[in-house]
Amino acid sequence: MDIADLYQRYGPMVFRRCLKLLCDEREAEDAMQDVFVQVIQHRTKLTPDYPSSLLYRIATNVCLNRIRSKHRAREMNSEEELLRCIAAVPDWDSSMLLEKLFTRHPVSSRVMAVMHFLDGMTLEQVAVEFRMSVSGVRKRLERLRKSLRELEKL
Amino acid sequence: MSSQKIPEIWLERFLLDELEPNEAEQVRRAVASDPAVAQKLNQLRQSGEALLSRYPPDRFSAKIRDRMVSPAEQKRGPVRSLFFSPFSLALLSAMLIAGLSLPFFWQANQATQPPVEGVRAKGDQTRLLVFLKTAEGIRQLSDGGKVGSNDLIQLSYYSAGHSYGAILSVDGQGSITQHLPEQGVQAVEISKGRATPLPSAFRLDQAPKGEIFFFVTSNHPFPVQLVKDAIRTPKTSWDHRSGGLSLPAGYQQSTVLLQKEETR
Repeated sequence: MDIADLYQRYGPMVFRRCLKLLCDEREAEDAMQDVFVQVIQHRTKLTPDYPSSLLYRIATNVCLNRIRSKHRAREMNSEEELLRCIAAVPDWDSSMLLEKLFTRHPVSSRVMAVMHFLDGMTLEQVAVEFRMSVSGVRKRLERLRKSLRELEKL
Repeated sequence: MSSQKIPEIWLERFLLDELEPNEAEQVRRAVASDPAVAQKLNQLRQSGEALLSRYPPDRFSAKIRDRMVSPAEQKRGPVRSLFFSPFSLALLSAMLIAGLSLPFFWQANQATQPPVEGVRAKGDQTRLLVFLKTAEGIRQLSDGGKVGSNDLIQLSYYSAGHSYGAILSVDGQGSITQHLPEQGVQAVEISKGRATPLPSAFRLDQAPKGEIFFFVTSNHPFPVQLVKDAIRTPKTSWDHRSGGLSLPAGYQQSTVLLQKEETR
Protein backbone atom coordinates (compact mmCIF):
# COMPACT_ATOMS: atom_id res chain seq x y z
CA MET A 1 0.00 0.00 0.00
CA ASP A 2 1.55 3.34 -0.96
CA ILE A 3 1.37 6.52 1.09
CA ALA A 4 -1.49 8.06 -0.87
CA ASP A 5 -3.62 4.91 -0.56
CA LEU A 6 -2.85 4.57 3.13
CA TYR A 7 -3.73 8.19 3.72
CA GLN A 8 -6.89 8.06 1.65
CA ARG A 9 -8.15 5.15 3.69
CA TYR A 10 -6.94 6.05 7.18
CA GLY A 11 -6.15 9.78 7.01
CA PRO A 12 -9.58 11.00 8.06
CA MET A 13 -9.65 8.74 11.11
CA VAL A 14 -6.13 9.72 12.15
CA PHE A 15 -6.84 13.41 11.61
CA ARG A 16 -10.03 13.29 13.68
CA ARG A 17 -8.19 11.53 16.47
CA CYS A 18 -5.42 14.14 16.46
CA LEU A 19 -7.89 17.01 16.27
CA LYS A 20 -9.86 15.67 19.22
CA LEU A 21 -6.76 15.45 21.40
CA LEU A 22 -4.91 18.56 20.20
CA CYS A 23 -7.87 20.87 19.38
CA ASP A 24 -5.95 22.67 16.66
CA GLU A 25 -6.38 21.87 12.99
CA ARG A 26 -2.87 22.79 11.96
CA GLU A 27 -1.28 20.92 14.82
CA ALA A 28 -3.55 17.96 14.10
CA GLU A 29 -2.42 17.96 10.47
CA ASP A 30 1.18 18.07 11.58
CA ALA A 31 0.63 15.25 14.07
CA MET A 32 -1.13 13.24 11.37
CA GLN A 33 1.99 13.53 9.26
CA ASP A 34 4.06 12.24 12.18
CA VAL A 35 1.75 9.26 12.45
CA PHE A 36 2.10 8.38 8.79
CA VAL A 37 5.86 8.88 8.83
CA GLN A 38 6.07 6.34 11.66
CA VAL A 39 3.80 3.94 9.86
CA ILE A 40 5.70 4.23 6.59
CA GLN A 41 9.02 3.72 8.34
CA HIS A 42 7.69 0.51 9.88
CA ARG A 43 5.39 -0.57 7.11
CA THR A 44 7.00 -4.00 6.81
CA LYS A 45 5.76 -4.74 10.31
CA LEU A 46 2.17 -3.79 9.58
CA THR A 47 -0.13 -6.75 9.92
CA PRO A 48 -2.99 -7.06 7.47
CA ASP A 49 -5.64 -7.43 10.13
CA TYR A 50 -7.25 -4.18 11.23
CA PRO A 51 -4.52 -1.54 10.68
CA SER A 52 -7.03 1.07 11.88
CA SER A 53 -6.60 -0.08 15.44
CA LEU A 54 -2.85 0.36 15.27
CA LEU A 55 -3.06 3.74 13.56
CA TYR A 56 -5.53 4.98 16.17
CA ARG A 57 -3.15 4.01 18.95
CA ILE A 58 -0.13 5.53 17.25
CA ALA A 59 -2.09 8.74 16.70
CA THR A 60 -3.02 8.82 20.39
CA ASN A 61 0.59 8.28 21.38
CA VAL A 62 1.91 10.94 19.00
CA CYS A 63 -0.58 13.44 20.43
CA LEU A 64 0.35 12.56 24.01
CA ASN A 65 3.99 13.25 23.19
CA ARG A 66 3.03 16.61 21.70
CA ILE A 67 0.93 17.49 24.72
CA ARG A 68 3.83 16.56 26.97
CA SER A 69 6.17 18.84 25.04
CA LYS A 70 3.96 21.88 25.30
CA HIS A 71 5.51 24.42 27.60
CA ARG A 72 2.41 26.46 28.19
CA ALA A 73 1.59 27.02 31.81
CA ARG A 74 -2.02 27.97 31.30
CA GLU A 75 -4.45 26.63 33.89
CA MET A 76 -6.22 23.98 31.91
CA ASN A 77 -9.65 22.51 32.02
CA SER A 78 -9.96 19.06 33.50
CA GLU A 79 -9.89 17.17 30.22
CA GLU A 80 -6.68 18.89 29.12
CA GLU A 81 -5.28 18.39 32.60
CA LEU A 82 -6.06 14.70 32.48
CA LEU A 83 -4.43 14.36 29.08
CA ARG A 84 -1.37 16.21 30.29
CA CYS A 85 -1.15 14.02 33.37
CA ILE A 86 -1.29 10.88 31.30
CA ALA A 87 1.15 12.30 28.78
CA ALA A 88 3.54 13.15 31.60
CA VAL A 89 3.90 9.55 32.67
CA PRO A 90 7.26 8.24 31.48
CA ASP A 91 7.23 5.43 28.98
CA TRP A 92 8.64 2.64 31.10
CA ASP A 93 9.57 0.83 27.97
CA SER A 94 10.41 3.91 25.91
CA SER A 95 13.30 2.34 24.07
CA MET A 96 11.04 -0.42 22.92
CA LEU A 97 7.84 1.56 22.65
CA LEU A 98 7.79 1.96 18.91
CA GLU A 99 8.74 -1.64 18.42
CA LYS A 100 6.00 -2.69 20.77
CA LEU A 101 3.48 -0.52 18.96
CA PHE A 102 4.18 -2.51 15.86
CA THR A 103 4.06 -5.96 17.39
CA ARG A 104 0.98 -8.06 17.08
CA HIS A 105 -0.26 -7.02 20.50
CA PRO A 106 0.86 -3.43 20.93
CA VAL A 107 0.63 -2.18 24.46
CA SER A 108 0.78 1.35 25.80
CA SER A 109 -0.69 2.05 29.16
CA ARG A 110 -0.89 5.76 28.40
CA VAL A 111 -3.03 5.09 25.35
CA MET A 112 -5.16 2.72 27.41
CA ALA A 113 -5.63 5.42 30.02
CA VAL A 114 -6.76 7.92 27.38
CA MET A 115 -9.23 5.44 25.94
CA HIS A 116 -10.63 4.55 29.34
CA PHE A 117 -10.66 7.89 31.13
CA LEU A 118 -11.07 10.33 28.25
CA ASP A 119 -12.87 8.40 25.54
CA GLY A 120 -15.14 6.72 28.05
CA MET A 121 -14.47 3.18 26.93
CA THR A 122 -15.17 0.51 29.52
CA LEU A 123 -12.38 -1.69 30.83
CA GLU A 124 -13.93 -4.52 28.85
CA GLN A 125 -13.89 -2.50 25.62
CA VAL A 126 -10.29 -1.43 26.20
CA ALA A 127 -9.38 -5.04 26.90
CA VAL A 128 -10.94 -6.14 23.62
CA GLU A 129 -9.19 -3.32 21.76
CA PHE A 130 -5.80 -4.36 23.09
CA ARG A 131 -6.58 -8.07 23.00
CA MET A 132 -5.86 -8.33 26.68
CA SER A 133 -7.77 -9.54 29.69
CA VAL A 134 -9.68 -7.05 31.81
CA SER A 135 -7.35 -7.82 34.69
CA GLY A 136 -4.41 -7.11 32.38
CA VAL A 137 -5.82 -3.67 31.59
CA ARG A 138 -6.40 -3.05 35.30
CA LYS A 139 -2.78 -3.92 35.99
CA ARG A 140 -1.61 -1.52 33.30
CA LEU A 141 -3.66 1.31 34.77
CA GLU A 142 -2.34 0.41 38.20
CA ARG A 143 1.17 0.74 36.83
CA LEU A 144 0.30 4.14 35.45
CA ARG A 145 -1.03 5.14 38.84
CA LYS A 146 2.28 4.16 40.44
CA SER A 147 4.14 6.30 37.95
CA LEU A 148 1.92 9.22 38.83
CA ARG A 149 2.82 8.69 42.46
CA GLU A 150 6.48 8.82 41.53
CA LEU A 151 5.88 12.05 39.63
CA GLU A 152 4.25 13.57 42.70
CA LYS A 153 7.49 13.05 44.60
CA LEU A 154 9.50 15.05 42.06
CA MET B 1 -28.16 1.30 22.78
CA SER B 2 -27.07 4.85 23.39
CA SER B 3 -24.25 6.60 21.58
CA GLN B 4 -22.24 6.65 24.80
CA LYS B 5 -21.89 2.91 24.72
CA ILE B 6 -20.42 2.87 21.23
CA PRO B 7 -16.78 4.00 21.41
CA GLU B 8 -15.73 6.42 18.72
CA ILE B 9 -13.04 4.04 17.54
CA TRP B 10 -15.76 1.49 16.82
CA LEU B 11 -17.53 3.99 14.56
CA GLU B 12 -14.26 4.74 12.81
CA ARG B 13 -13.54 1.08 12.26
CA PHE B 14 -17.13 0.45 11.23
CA LEU B 15 -16.68 2.95 8.40
CA LEU B 16 -13.49 1.16 7.41
CA ASP B 17 -15.14 -2.24 7.64
CA GLU B 18 -12.52 -3.32 10.16
CA LEU B 19 -14.74 -4.19 13.10
CA GLU B 20 -15.23 -7.70 14.41
CA PRO B 21 -18.60 -9.04 13.19
CA ASN B 22 -20.19 -8.92 16.64
CA GLU B 23 -19.03 -5.34 17.21
CA ALA B 24 -20.23 -4.31 13.75
CA GLU B 25 -23.62 -5.76 14.57
CA GLN B 26 -23.76 -3.69 17.76
CA VAL B 27 -22.99 -0.56 15.75
CA ARG B 28 -25.67 -1.39 13.16
CA ARG B 29 -28.24 -1.85 15.93
CA ALA B 30 -27.21 1.40 17.54
CA VAL B 31 -27.45 3.26 14.23
CA ALA B 32 -30.92 1.87 13.68
CA SER B 33 -32.19 2.68 17.15
CA ASP B 34 -30.35 5.85 18.09
CA PRO B 35 -30.46 8.90 15.78
CA ALA B 36 -27.47 10.39 17.61
CA VAL B 37 -25.27 7.46 16.61
CA ALA B 38 -26.52 7.65 13.02
CA GLN B 39 -25.79 11.37 12.98
CA LYS B 40 -22.33 10.88 14.41
CA LEU B 41 -21.55 8.29 11.77
CA ASN B 42 -22.74 10.64 9.08
CA GLN B 43 -20.58 13.44 10.49
CA LEU B 44 -17.53 11.18 10.38
CA ARG B 45 -18.20 10.36 6.74
CA GLN B 46 -18.62 14.01 5.82
CA SER B 47 -15.55 15.19 7.70
CA GLY B 48 -13.49 12.51 5.97
CA GLU B 49 -14.61 13.73 2.58
CA ALA B 50 -13.87 17.31 3.59
CA LEU B 51 -10.35 16.44 4.72
CA LEU B 52 -9.52 14.54 1.54
CA SER B 53 -10.88 17.39 -0.51
CA ARG B 54 -8.91 20.01 1.41
CA TYR B 55 -5.79 17.91 1.67
CA PRO B 56 -5.67 15.55 -1.33
CA PRO B 57 -3.72 12.27 -1.13
CA ASP B 58 -1.11 13.24 -3.70
CA ARG B 59 -0.27 16.43 -1.81
CA PHE B 60 -0.14 14.54 1.47
CA SER B 61 2.13 11.80 0.18
CA ALA B 62 4.53 14.41 -1.23
CA LYS B 63 4.64 16.05 2.19
CA ILE B 64 5.37 12.75 3.90
CA ARG B 65 8.19 11.98 1.48
CA ASP B 66 9.69 15.39 2.25
CA ARG B 67 9.49 14.76 5.95
CA MET B 68 11.02 11.35 5.74
CA VAL B 69 14.18 12.79 4.25
CA SER B 70 14.32 15.90 6.41
CA PRO B 71 16.94 15.49 9.15
CA ALA B 72 15.48 18.37 11.13
CA GLU B 73 12.14 16.64 11.37
CA GLN B 74 13.71 13.31 12.23
CA LYS B 75 15.51 14.88 15.17
CA ARG B 76 12.37 16.35 16.63
CA GLY B 77 11.27 14.59 19.77
CA PRO B 78 9.28 15.12 22.91
CA VAL B 79 10.60 17.45 25.56
CA ARG B 80 9.66 16.73 29.10
CA SER B 81 7.22 19.29 30.40
CA LEU B 82 8.24 21.19 33.48
CA PHE B 83 4.70 21.94 34.43
CA PHE B 84 2.87 19.34 36.43
CA SER B 85 0.21 20.33 38.87
CA PRO B 86 0.81 18.33 42.07
CA PHE B 87 -2.85 18.76 42.84
CA SER B 88 -3.98 17.29 39.56
CA LEU B 89 -1.52 14.44 39.79
CA ALA B 90 -2.67 13.62 43.28
CA LEU B 91 -6.27 13.84 42.21
CA LEU B 92 -5.75 11.61 39.22
CA SER B 93 -3.88 9.12 41.36
CA ALA B 94 -6.69 9.13 43.86
CA MET B 95 -9.19 8.67 41.07
CA LEU B 96 -7.28 5.74 39.68
CA ILE B 97 -6.97 4.18 43.12
CA ALA B 98 -10.60 4.60 43.91
CA GLY B 99 -11.77 3.79 40.41
CA LEU B 100 -13.84 6.93 40.37
CA SER B 101 -15.30 8.30 37.20
CA LEU B 102 -14.05 11.18 35.08
CA PRO B 103 -17.14 13.32 35.75
CA PHE B 104 -16.18 13.38 39.41
CA PHE B 105 -12.69 14.49 38.44
CA TRP B 106 -14.17 17.29 36.36
CA GLN B 107 -16.29 18.55 39.21
CA ALA B 108 -13.43 18.41 41.69
CA ASN B 109 -11.07 20.25 39.40
CA GLN B 110 -13.32 23.10 38.42
CA ALA B 111 -12.92 24.99 41.62
CA THR B 112 -11.69 28.24 40.13
CA GLN B 113 -14.25 30.92 40.79
CA PRO B 114 -14.75 33.79 38.36
CA PRO B 115 -13.59 36.80 40.29
CA VAL B 116 -14.94 39.65 38.24
CA GLU B 117 -18.64 39.82 38.87
CA GLY B 118 -20.08 43.24 38.63
CA VAL B 119 -17.61 44.53 36.08
CA ARG B 120 -19.40 46.76 33.63
CA ALA B 121 -18.29 47.38 30.13
CA LYS B 122 -19.92 50.08 28.12
CA GLY B 123 -19.42 51.63 24.76
CA ASP B 124 -17.79 49.17 22.41
CA GLN B 125 -19.93 46.44 20.89
CA THR B 126 -17.25 43.85 21.55
CA ARG B 127 -14.78 44.23 24.35
CA LEU B 128 -12.21 42.04 26.00
CA LEU B 129 -11.43 42.66 29.65
CA VAL B 130 -8.21 41.40 31.17
CA PHE B 131 -7.59 41.20 34.90
CA LEU B 132 -4.53 40.42 36.97
CA LYS B 133 -5.14 38.25 40.00
CA THR B 134 -2.74 38.76 42.88
CA ALA B 135 -2.68 38.00 46.58
CA GLU B 136 -3.82 41.58 47.16
CA GLY B 137 -6.80 41.33 44.85
CA ILE B 138 -7.78 41.85 41.26
CA ARG B 139 -7.02 44.76 38.99
CA GLN B 140 -7.93 45.38 35.40
CA LEU B 141 -5.11 45.59 32.90
CA SER B 142 -5.30 48.05 30.06
CA ASP B 143 -4.01 47.53 26.54
CA GLY B 144 -0.22 47.67 26.78
CA GLY B 145 -0.32 46.74 30.46
CA LYS B 146 2.76 45.29 32.11
CA VAL B 147 2.82 41.72 33.38
CA GLY B 148 5.39 39.17 34.46
CA SER B 149 5.92 35.47 34.00
CA ASN B 150 3.67 33.40 36.27
CA ASP B 151 1.15 36.19 36.66
CA LEU B 152 -2.37 34.86 37.01
CA ILE B 153 -4.69 36.30 34.37
CA GLN B 154 -8.46 36.27 34.31
CA LEU B 155 -10.27 37.06 31.09
CA SER B 156 -13.75 38.43 30.76
CA TYR B 157 -15.71 39.53 27.71
CA TYR B 158 -18.53 41.85 26.81
CA SER B 159 -20.62 41.71 23.67
CA ALA B 160 -23.53 44.02 23.02
CA GLY B 161 -24.70 42.47 19.79
CA HIS B 162 -23.05 39.39 18.43
CA SER B 163 -24.06 35.94 19.62
CA TYR B 164 -20.94 33.88 18.92
CA GLY B 165 -17.39 34.42 20.04
CA ALA B 166 -13.91 33.03 20.51
CA ILE B 167 -10.97 34.25 22.57
CA LEU B 168 -7.40 33.32 21.70
CA SER B 169 -3.99 34.67 22.50
CA VAL B 170 -0.51 34.49 21.07
CA ASP B 171 2.69 34.88 23.03
CA GLY B 172 6.04 36.33 22.08
CA GLN B 173 7.16 32.98 20.71
CA GLY B 174 4.13 32.69 18.47
CA SER B 175 2.45 30.00 20.55
CA ILE B 176 -1.33 30.28 20.32
CA THR B 177 -3.62 29.49 23.25
CA GLN B 178 -7.34 28.95 22.92
CA HIS B 179 -9.27 30.40 25.85
CA LEU B 180 -12.87 30.38 24.63
CA PRO B 181 -13.82 27.73 23.93
CA GLU B 182 -11.02 26.02 25.81
CA GLN B 183 -11.56 23.02 23.57
CA GLY B 184 -13.48 22.57 20.38
CA VAL B 185 -13.22 23.89 16.88
CA GLN B 186 -16.24 26.21 16.73
CA ALA B 187 -16.89 29.59 18.31
CA VAL B 188 -19.40 29.29 21.13
CA GLU B 189 -22.59 31.11 21.95
CA ILE B 190 -21.74 34.01 24.24
CA SER B 191 -23.61 36.08 26.79
CA LYS B 192 -24.80 39.45 25.58
CA GLY B 193 -25.04 42.77 27.34
CA ARG B 194 -22.99 41.92 30.41
CA ALA B 195 -19.36 41.31 31.29
CA THR B 196 -18.85 37.58 31.51
CA PRO B 197 -15.72 36.07 33.07
CA LEU B 198 -14.28 32.86 31.65
CA PRO B 199 -14.63 29.91 34.01
CA SER B 200 -10.92 29.61 34.74
CA ALA B 201 -7.90 31.84 35.01
CA PHE B 202 -4.53 30.97 33.53
CA ARG B 203 -0.93 31.63 34.38
CA LEU B 204 1.48 33.30 32.00
CA ASP B 205 4.50 31.20 31.15
CA GLN B 206 8.10 32.16 30.52
CA ALA B 207 7.60 33.20 26.89
CA PRO B 208 9.31 36.53 26.16
CA LYS B 209 7.76 39.87 25.15
CA GLY B 210 4.22 39.22 26.35
CA GLU B 211 0.83 38.07 25.15
CA ILE B 212 -1.74 39.50 22.72
CA PHE B 213 -5.37 38.53 23.32
CA PHE B 214 -8.05 38.53 20.63
CA PHE B 215 -11.78 38.40 21.23
CA VAL B 216 -13.63 37.84 17.94
CA THR B 217 -17.40 37.81 17.61
CA SER B 218 -19.97 37.28 14.90
CA ASN B 219 -23.69 36.86 14.50
CA HIS B 220 -23.10 33.37 13.16
CA PRO B 221 -21.10 30.35 14.36
CA PHE B 222 -17.58 30.36 12.92
CA PRO B 223 -14.54 28.08 13.09
CA VAL B 224 -11.90 28.94 15.68
CA GLN B 225 -9.41 28.13 12.96
CA LEU B 226 -10.38 31.37 11.24
CA VAL B 227 -8.98 33.31 14.18
CA LYS B 228 -5.89 31.11 14.42
CA ASP B 229 -5.15 31.64 10.74
CA ALA B 230 -5.57 35.39 11.16
CA ILE B 231 -3.24 35.38 14.17
CA ARG B 232 -0.59 33.50 12.23
CA THR B 233 -0.29 36.21 9.60
CA PRO B 234 2.87 38.32 9.83
CA LYS B 235 0.74 41.36 10.62
CA THR B 236 0.15 40.11 14.15
CA SER B 237 3.72 39.09 14.89
CA TRP B 238 5.42 40.97 17.68
CA ASP B 239 7.58 42.88 15.32
CA HIS B 240 4.66 44.07 13.22
CA ARG B 241 1.83 44.23 15.69
CA SER B 242 -0.77 46.72 14.64
CA GLY B 243 -3.60 45.93 16.99
CA GLY B 244 -6.02 43.91 14.93
CA LEU B 245 -6.68 40.82 12.91
CA SER B 246 -7.59 40.79 9.23
CA LEU B 247 -11.03 39.23 9.33
CA PRO B 248 -13.85 38.98 6.80
CA ALA B 249 -16.82 41.33 6.99
CA GLY B 250 -19.32 40.56 9.69
CA TYR B 251 -16.82 40.06 12.47
CA GLN B 252 -15.94 42.33 15.38
CA GLN B 253 -12.87 42.10 17.49
CA SER B 254 -11.24 43.44 20.60
CA THR B 255 -7.52 43.16 21.22
CA VAL B 256 -5.48 43.56 24.38
CA LEU B 257 -1.71 43.43 24.43
CA LEU B 258 0.17 42.66 27.63
CA GLN B 259 3.88 43.33 27.79
CA LYS B 260 6.30 41.38 29.92
CA GLU B 261 8.06 43.53 32.52
CA GLU B 262 11.44 42.21 31.45
CA THR B 263 10.97 43.54 27.92
CA ARG B 264 10.17 47.10 28.88
